[in-house]
Amino acid sequence: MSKKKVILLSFNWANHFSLALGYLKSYALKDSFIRDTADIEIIDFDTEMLNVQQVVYYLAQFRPDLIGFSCYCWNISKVLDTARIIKTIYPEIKIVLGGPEAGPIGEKYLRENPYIDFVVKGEGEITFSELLKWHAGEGRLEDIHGITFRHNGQIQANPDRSPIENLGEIPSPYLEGILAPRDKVTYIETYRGCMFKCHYCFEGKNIPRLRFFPEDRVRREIELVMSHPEIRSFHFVDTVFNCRKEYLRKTVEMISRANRHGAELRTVEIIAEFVDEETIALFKQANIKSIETGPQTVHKDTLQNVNRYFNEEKFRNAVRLLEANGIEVTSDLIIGLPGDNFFKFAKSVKTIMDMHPSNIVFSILHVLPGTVLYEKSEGFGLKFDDKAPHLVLSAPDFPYEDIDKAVIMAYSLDKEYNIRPLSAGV
Amino acid sequence: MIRYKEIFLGGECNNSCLYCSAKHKASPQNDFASIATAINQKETDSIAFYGGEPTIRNDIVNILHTARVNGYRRIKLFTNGRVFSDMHSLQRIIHAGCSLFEIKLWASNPPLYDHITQVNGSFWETIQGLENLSQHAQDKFVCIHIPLCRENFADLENTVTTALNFGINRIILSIQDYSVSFRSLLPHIANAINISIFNRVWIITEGIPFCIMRGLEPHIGELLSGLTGIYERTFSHHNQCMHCIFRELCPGTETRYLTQFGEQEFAPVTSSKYLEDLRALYV
Repeated sequence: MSKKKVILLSFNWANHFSLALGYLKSYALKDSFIRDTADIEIIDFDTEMLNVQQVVYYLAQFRPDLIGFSCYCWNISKVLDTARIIKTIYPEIKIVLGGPEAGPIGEKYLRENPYIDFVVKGEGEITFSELLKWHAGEGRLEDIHGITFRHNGQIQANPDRSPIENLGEIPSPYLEGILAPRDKVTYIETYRGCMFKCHYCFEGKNIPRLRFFPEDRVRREIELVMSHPEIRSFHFVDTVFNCRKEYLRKTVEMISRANRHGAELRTVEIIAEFVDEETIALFKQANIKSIETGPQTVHKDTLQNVNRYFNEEKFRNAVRLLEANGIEVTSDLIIGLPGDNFFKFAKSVKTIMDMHPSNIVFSILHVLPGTVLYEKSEGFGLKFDDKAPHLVLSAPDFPYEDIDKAVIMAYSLDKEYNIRPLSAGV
Repeated sequence: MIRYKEIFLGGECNNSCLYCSAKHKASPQNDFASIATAINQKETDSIAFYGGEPTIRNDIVNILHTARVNGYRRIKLFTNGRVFSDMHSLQRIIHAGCSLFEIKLWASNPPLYDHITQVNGSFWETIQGLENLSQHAQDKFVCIHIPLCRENFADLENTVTTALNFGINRIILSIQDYSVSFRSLLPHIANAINISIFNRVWIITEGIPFCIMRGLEPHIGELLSGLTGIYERTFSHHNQCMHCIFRELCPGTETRYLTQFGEQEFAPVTSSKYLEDLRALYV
């Protein structure tokens, strides 16, 4: 019997590649039955450079039996277009969606898009492997936790799958040779979950504690990535890089030992309020050049609404310390949080500008599936676009017109504040 | 919201605008050494140069370069943009380190514009300057400053539409002439705001009392940036202000305006859902 052709497909920005698909493949290939019955290929398409027709052409040449799409709010539109066209041409191809955009609202996606066969909810490694086995003739769909699918004309949601307790069960896609590290777009994940439970984010929700990848595996991943002289910078995708001081010390030790080519770490997500002199020293030892942090808003009532921690004095002190030590700070503000209004947003902007971070990123609230804000939007008085990227349309004190004006003001301030001077060499 | 160190370069200008005071026009050009000294006293990472017309100075490139080597991240010019009609001059100014521009645009047509600036051909030079600036590849911030006066207020919508052709980042409407009533101005200002917002460009006003701007509060420039600025104004409160909830925040109106029109147009604001938020913003 010939092997099933499986494609894992992601539409990415700016030449990035999908770490999540690497995990799916590395986990699946642990299983000898899958190895014997399926050929799995990962394809990363640049969402800006390629249109759907080009992607369909490529897939038509490959003629897979199953396509798994990695879905985010910013690529779902292209995913659906691709899946619809492919299914129309080749009805026998199984279409599987996963990722944070589709997983939490699988029933909705199946109901509204008849060409989708399965939606994987939550962490996909085990679920997708079981689905591949079923596809090759082993097991029953009813027994696969974490999938939503069509059964006898009805949409059936199986029980959720618990998060993977031991992340060491997932082989490293880098160490297995599934993903090849590349400059600027390589990501390393050292743990999953988040110590915070912000209501606009799905990272920490429903997962009681942080789960760490084995220390030795993280060390070997870091060494592998940093052994490439052409990799000048890479990223960690951990939700809060400095979540625990002891863990930070260990990770920094690994990085500094492995960093024989002077690679830099950029846009590391941190909690600013935890930064002290020792943290700065560790960041410098790790050759961290830029960090990204909140606070999203500076208003206590809004912060309380979205369950976010912010201490203005500590935050200000952290920005001062980081910038003074040559580590660029990018501070994030969100427009449209419940409890804010136009003037409160403007106050947040003023407060943060007064702290002089290198950059300020303004974004409009995305009411993302799987978040508390999405599930309890009515209670928060939020109206949002049901279609991805799920932008907020109004909040109790933030009518649509004012949100729109805040966004336009933010465009202007973004341009003025974040402008880069002419480089020295010009 | 960004605080700039503002440096006056002198009153010399290639326009002779109707609303520029004789005192301002007569201000001597400051010498390079004193300007450089001021630049060296770095209090913030943003600096702005104004005149007169800064770009007509022979040493403008040196001035901008001095700011650049002093590490200012944002270097801004207040200008009429005429010199930018020569791409070579614009290139030199940008390469010297200037990336933010606030350009005054009086009108949408040559007769009116040239009448106010009292220089034939000034309109087309400013327009060509804006065109050149929009074509230049360097990352830049361009703000159009439209001063309002009795000659141009009826042309405001056209002027805003003209400005929007050049990929700009902000529009400021400021009162330059207090011999035209707010009652006459307001419909044009409201239209201008709608046109600009529809085109996704941020727009604010300067010099208009808060009570006149009811319903348009997000566009009150003073709320966002305070009362700092390079333009001379002498605001005062009047009797109606005593009953207004914004009296601590709003500077009132120009003294010259009260002399001309009295207080009839002003109605105290007695309630606002956002008073505390506005107060917090302003403080």
